[in-house]
Amino acid sequence: MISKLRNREGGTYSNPSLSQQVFDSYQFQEFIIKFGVRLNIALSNANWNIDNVAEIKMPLSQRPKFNNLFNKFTGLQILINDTEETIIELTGFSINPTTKKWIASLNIIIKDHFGLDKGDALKYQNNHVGFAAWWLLQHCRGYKPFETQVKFKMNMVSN
Amino acid sequence: MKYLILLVILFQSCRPPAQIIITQFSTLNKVIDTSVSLGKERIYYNKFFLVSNYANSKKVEKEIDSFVVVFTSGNNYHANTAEIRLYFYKETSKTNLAVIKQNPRDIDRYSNEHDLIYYYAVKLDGTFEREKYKQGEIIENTAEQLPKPKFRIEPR
Repeated sequence: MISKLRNREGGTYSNPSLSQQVFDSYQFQEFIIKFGVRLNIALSNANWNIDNVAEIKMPLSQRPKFNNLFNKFTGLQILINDTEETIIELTGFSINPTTKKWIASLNIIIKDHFGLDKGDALKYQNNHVGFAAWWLLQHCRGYKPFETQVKFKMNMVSN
Repeated sequence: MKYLILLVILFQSCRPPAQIIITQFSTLNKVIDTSVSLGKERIYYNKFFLVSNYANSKKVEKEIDSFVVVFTSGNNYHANTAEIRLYFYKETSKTNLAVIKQNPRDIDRYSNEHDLIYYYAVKLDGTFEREKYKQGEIIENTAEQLPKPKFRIEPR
């Protein structure tokens, strides 16, 4: 990620280690379980037919965020902090018609912009000199912000 | 003097709580979100409100319910509306109109985890689902009470 910033190239950034850390995080696991609960309700309303389940939009307040004390000291807060969009793509699905237990194969993409705007700089510049330096690099010296994309594939099994 | 203090306490506890005041505000989040699913365009409206004089009580909850019904009952929504989503935050020293105006991102960075109290998802037929929040966690919801499944998640 540091190289990405140094190279001033903008664009998107992905890293398997970062993705793995997000997958392992309590915040993501909590988010995806809330999604699973909503999917289960939607399936129930659709008579357990996945073909009749419309896109599920999660409330904004439930999106994955990595801003607690643990994330502050383990890296995810400075690397991601809040997130701007999470896309959950269903690539496979099977259900036991009797027990209603199901298995979903999911592709996950979490997006965030690694950059500071004026409001961020004004608010956080007194917390650490790095924030002012970051803003100067980005806005005065051509170090372009970029989009971080956390990507992984996973299975979700209802028990 | 002891009795006077007791009387004052009694008087204070008998005072009716102040009426809530609900004020709509805007943030950096999308007001209208759209998607196409099962061959149909679906529109989601996001609305944000501040609740002054909030008290954690059934009376206040009913007042907010009534507000939601009135607010969403007009014909101001597209026929393809999937949900009107309303977010209610209690007014505090860190979640108020002045702070939101100065730092709109604080709604996402602070208020969602500390001062979000209710989230409503309203359908065009008037039915709604309500979630009650405390410290960013859902503590009550009106969604269909299915047996809560447990999940196993694994990388693929």
